[in-house]
Amino acid sequence: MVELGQIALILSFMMATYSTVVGFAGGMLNGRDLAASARWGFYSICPLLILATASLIYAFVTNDFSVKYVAENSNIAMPKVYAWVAFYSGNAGSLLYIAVAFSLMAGIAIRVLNSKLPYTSPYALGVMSMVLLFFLAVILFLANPLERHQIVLEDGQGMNPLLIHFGMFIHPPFQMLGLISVALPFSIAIGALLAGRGGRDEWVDQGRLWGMVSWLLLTTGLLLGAWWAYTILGWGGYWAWDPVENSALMPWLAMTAFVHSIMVQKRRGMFRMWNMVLIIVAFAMAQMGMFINRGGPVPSVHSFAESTMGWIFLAVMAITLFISLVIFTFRFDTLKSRSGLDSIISRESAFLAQNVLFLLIAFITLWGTIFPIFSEAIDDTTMTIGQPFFNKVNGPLMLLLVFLMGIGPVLPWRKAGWGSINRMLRLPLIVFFLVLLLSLISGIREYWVLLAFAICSVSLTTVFQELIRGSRSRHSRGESWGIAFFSLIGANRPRYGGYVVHLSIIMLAIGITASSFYDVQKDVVMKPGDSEVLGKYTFKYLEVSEKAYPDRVEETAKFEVWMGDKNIGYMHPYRAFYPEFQIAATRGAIHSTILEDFYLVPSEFKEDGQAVFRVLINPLVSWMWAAGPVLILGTLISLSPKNRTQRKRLRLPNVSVDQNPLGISE
Amino acid sequence: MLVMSVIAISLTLAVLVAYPIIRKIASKSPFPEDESSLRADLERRWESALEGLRHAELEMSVGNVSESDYLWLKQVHMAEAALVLKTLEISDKEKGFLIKRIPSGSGYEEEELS
Repeated sequence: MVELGQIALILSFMMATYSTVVGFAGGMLNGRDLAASARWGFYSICPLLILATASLIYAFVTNDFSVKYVAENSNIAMPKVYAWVAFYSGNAGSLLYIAVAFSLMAGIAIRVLNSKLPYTSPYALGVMSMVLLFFLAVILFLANPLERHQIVLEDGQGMNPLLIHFGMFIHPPFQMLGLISVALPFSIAIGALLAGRGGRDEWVDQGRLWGMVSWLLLTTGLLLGAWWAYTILGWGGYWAWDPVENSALMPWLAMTAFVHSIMVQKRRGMFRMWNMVLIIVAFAMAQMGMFINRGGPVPSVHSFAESTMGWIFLAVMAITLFISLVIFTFRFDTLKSRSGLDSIISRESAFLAQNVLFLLIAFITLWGTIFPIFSEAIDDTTMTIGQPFFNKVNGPLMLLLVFLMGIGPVLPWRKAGWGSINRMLRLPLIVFFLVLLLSLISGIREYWVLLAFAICSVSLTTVFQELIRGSRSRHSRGESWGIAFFSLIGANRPRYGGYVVHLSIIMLAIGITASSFYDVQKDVVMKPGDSEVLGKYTFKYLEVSEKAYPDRVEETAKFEVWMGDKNIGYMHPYRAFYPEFQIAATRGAIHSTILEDFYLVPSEFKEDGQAVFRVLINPLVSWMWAAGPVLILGTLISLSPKNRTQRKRLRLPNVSVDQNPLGISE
Repeated sequence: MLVMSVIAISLTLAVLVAYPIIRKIASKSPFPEDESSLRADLERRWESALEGLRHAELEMSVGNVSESDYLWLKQVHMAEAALVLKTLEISDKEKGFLIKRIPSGSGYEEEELS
């Protein structure tokens, strides 16, 4: 089975080479048969990689420790269900996962592109094949997960214990998929440029579609990562500005800018160059993320072991960036905007300001992440930039973004007179000052918190104002309130789906603000029978039980907890020690409500029966986790295809065009 | 068994990539419309103008924009739509028909010239 997987890998490499060469040839020679052949060649890669993946997972399930990767990432004690996690828990396997997932997504994208952009698709196919070819080359020549050991081991080393968690089934797959999926809109954009197109907004619809898909995957990956860190890592937080976290955030920021900016190009034929630059930057940042993740020089708690592979990713990033910019420069003349800004106060201007802020945050994060490399190069000392820097610099910029997110979508396209501004922003501004006043009265004195809540209230008000006004308008034409609401959203899906996404971002912003400024933390030393108080919570340490498993020893504490006078039950935080890894993994016990989380996590169990616990009260954290499904829902609404009624349109008559009085560039 | 599987997979792949070239399936089919043609561009601009009108109407109906802004927006989108029509080689009668229909066409009714 392993040998079959190896052969499937070699064949997929050959097919990717074929698709790259023949795809570009098909585009350049306008050879439709060549392009079709390249396409079918590409479609065959996914089944081949699935075969290779199946053979690796089979090796995990059957404990075939003759396979080096299996021996390094599993052992007999590992539950069989974790074979899927073990598959991508190491460097080589994760590359195979990326390759198989990308081949599937790119296959679907090429299928769609072939019908929508027939003259661009061979080039886009060539670019996608090249991306896949790189991964397959690395897998085959540098990190082959199906490579056999010289000697057969009786048991493997086992998987990193921190990865044994439900979140690992979904967080890494989404995160890796998100990073590589940036290659899809990038390939479409570069394909359009290579095909001598792009100056007539041909690629915009497909670029937006795959940009949104990529954005959704990146966002889901980030949220799941934060949730995993919060529930499993046992430090009470969810974001630490760790280099690997940053490396996922940077492409997300660039992609967020892109999915907004591309709408302006669709509507106005503006920002053509800007969008090309954005997608090139986004892909470069995704590659930078992979570089950091694959053993780059920046220390991180959850990157793969340091290796030369990171530098190969960096070199490929530099080459990709250089070639993309050369292509962009050659096509520069074709990318002039069709029109300019009519007014500074318009939706286009708000999008542009948002774009600049997104990129600014992305580059600040990049600088903070790679700063240790520069500091080491200059005076041989590795200086890392910590949370306070990122919070102080990025925090206010993000707040400004939330403010623009509130007012941008309600500004009309092209220009807004004072009459329109008054109609749309009067209520949100009243709410802004009202919330400010109420917050002051309720005792909030931290000016960042005051500002954050007031700004979030502006965004929230504009969203509800839009939904209520739209529904009321339809209701006044005879629809019931329920039908009016749903038909409003159904008839304008990108717009109202976007509002739902904004709603989730507001929930995230409120959760982050509250939990950052008002978290309460206490370290306590307790022995069974002791009680402690934190805030309105009283918790009694009842006992600790110890249980030995083949791979670990678990110590589970039992607490009885009261909130005020109300008993909220028992909580069981635990700490597991893995002797083979010399790693202790803790898992917090969390009592979560809509207002706050009561979080208990053991730090140490001592010989004399005493134990050290960290106890936290984290306000509004549950809002952040609730924001995830809301965000996914909003994105899906935005992406959902128009129904039959909406597709009906006033069509242009089918006549030939052989003149160009508008002066549109060919 | 392994050798047979490899031969079978390799042959399948060879047939898969050779078939479109040998049978010339793609080149026998009519040329697809070029996404960069002036016609396709005009269609996108036409759609964009109508979408702009539809949005302006929606903003007006929900009370987001003032009367003067609405009229201005309507005017620029109508002008854009008219420019697209001007570029097309269609009769004045057809142009007149389309221009007359634009405001209602920006809603949901389907109108098509035969």
